[in-house]
Amino acid sequence: MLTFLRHTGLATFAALFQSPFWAFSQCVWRLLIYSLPITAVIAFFSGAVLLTHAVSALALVGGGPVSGYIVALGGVRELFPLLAASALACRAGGEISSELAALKLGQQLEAVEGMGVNSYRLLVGPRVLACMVGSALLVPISDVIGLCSAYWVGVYQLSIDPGNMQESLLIWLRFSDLAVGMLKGFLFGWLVGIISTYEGVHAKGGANGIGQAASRAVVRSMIAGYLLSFALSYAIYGNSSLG
Amino acid sequence: MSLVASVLSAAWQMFRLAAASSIKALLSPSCLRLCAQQSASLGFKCLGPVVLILAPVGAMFALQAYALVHAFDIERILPIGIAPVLIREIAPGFTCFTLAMLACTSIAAEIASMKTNREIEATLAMGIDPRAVVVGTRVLSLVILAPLLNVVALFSAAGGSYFIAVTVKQIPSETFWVGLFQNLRVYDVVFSELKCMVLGLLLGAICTYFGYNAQGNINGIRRAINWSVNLSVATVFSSNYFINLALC
Repeated sequence: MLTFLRHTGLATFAALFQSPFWAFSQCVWRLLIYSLPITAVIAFFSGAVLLTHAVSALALVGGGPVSGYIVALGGVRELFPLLAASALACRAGGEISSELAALKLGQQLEAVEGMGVNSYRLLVGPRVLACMVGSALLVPISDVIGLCSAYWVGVYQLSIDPGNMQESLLIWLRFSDLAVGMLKGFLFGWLVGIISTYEGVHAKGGANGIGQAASRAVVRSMIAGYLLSFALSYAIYGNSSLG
Repeated sequence: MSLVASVLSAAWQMFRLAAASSIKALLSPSCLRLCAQQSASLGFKCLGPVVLILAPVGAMFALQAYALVHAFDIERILPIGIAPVLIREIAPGFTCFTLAMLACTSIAAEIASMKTNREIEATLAMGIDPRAVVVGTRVLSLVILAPLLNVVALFSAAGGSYFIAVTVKQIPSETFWVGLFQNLRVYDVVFSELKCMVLGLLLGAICTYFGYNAQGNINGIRRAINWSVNLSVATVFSSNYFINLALC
C-alpha cells in the first residue's frame, strides 16, 4: 500500500504538470458527466426530504417557517458535500476500479509497462487528480440543487411564504461553509481516487475480480470518506455555533 | 417520449422478473434455507460498513443540530428533535444507500458472472429454474436483510449522536436517552422498517435484473455493475422521498 501511495503521489503530482491539459480536462469532464446525473438526483431528493423533516421537527417549537436554516446548515455544511462525494465514489469510483481491474485482468497493464510506459503516470495519476478536482466541483452543484429543491418543496408543497423561505435558506449561509464543503469534496475525492485505483490495479481472480474490486473500492472509499468528513466537521465546527 | 417508454418498459421488466422469481422461490422447498444463507452472507458483508458509515453520519447530524439548538438556547430538545429524523430518515436511508453500493454490486457481479460463464444455462439444463434459485432468493434476502440492518444502523447512528451530545457537548446521559425515547412512536419504527423492506425489494429487483441480463464478457459484467449501482442509488433517494410523501 505504501509503495502504491508513493507511486500514486508522484504520478498525481506529475499529472499536474506533465499530462497534457486536454487529456486531464477530458478526464475531469468524463468524470463530471458520469457523476452529475446521479449527484443531481441525490441532491434534489435529499434537499426535499431534509426540508420536510426540518419543518415537522421545528413545528414542535413553532418554527416551521424558519426550517430553511436546517437545510442551509445541515445541507451545505454536511449532507450535500457528503452525498456529492458519495455519488462520485459510487459512479466514478466504481467505474475507475472496474476499468483498471479489466485492464489488469486482461494483462493490458503489463503490456503498457512492457512498452516502457509508466502505467501509474498514464492511468493512475490523472484519474486521482480528476477525482479530486471533479469532487470539489460537484459540491457547489450539489449545494445549489439541494437548496433549490428545498425552496421548491417549501414554497409549492408546504406552502411556506417564498420570502421567508428564501431568507431562512440564505441568511445563515456563509462563504466559509461553502468553502469547507468544497475542501471536504476535494479530500473525499482524493480518497476515492486513491482507493479506486488501488483496488483496480490490485484486482485478482478472473471476471469475479472486477466486481469484487468495484465493490471494495466503493465501500472502502465511502467509509474512509465519511470518517474523514466527520473528523473535519469536528475540527471545524466542534466548538463553533452558527456564525 | 421514446426515452420515457423505454424507461417504463425496463421498469416493467425488472418488476416482472423480480415478482415471478420471488414467487417461484417462495414456492420452492429450499427457499427458506437459501434465503437465510444469502441474507447471512450479505449481512456479514454489510454489517461493518453500515456501522462505520452510520456512526459518523449520526455524529455529524448531532453536531449541526446542536449548533442550531444552541443558537436558540434550547439544547434540552436536541435528543427530542433528532430521534424522529434518525429513525425515519437517517437509519433507513443510509442503510439502503450502503446496501445499494455493497450488496447490489455484489449481487449484480455474481449473477452477471454466472450468466457470462453460462452457469445459468447449466442450471437450466439440470432442470432447475435459475430464476427461483438465483434471482428470487437474492431479492427476498434483500427484503429480509434491509430491515435487520436498519436496526443496527439506528443504534450505530444513535451511538454517534450520543458521542457528540454527551461526551463532547456535556448533555447529561440520562437526558439524552430519555429525550431520544420520549418522542419515539411505534408508528415511526414501523414506518422505518417498512420503508427498508420496500427499498430492499426495489434494490433486489434492480441488481438482479442487470445481473441476469448481462451480455458479453468482462465488459458486460462491468456495465451490469455500474448500471445496477447507479440506478439503485438514484432509486433509494427518489423512492425515499415518494414514500415519505405517500405515508407522512
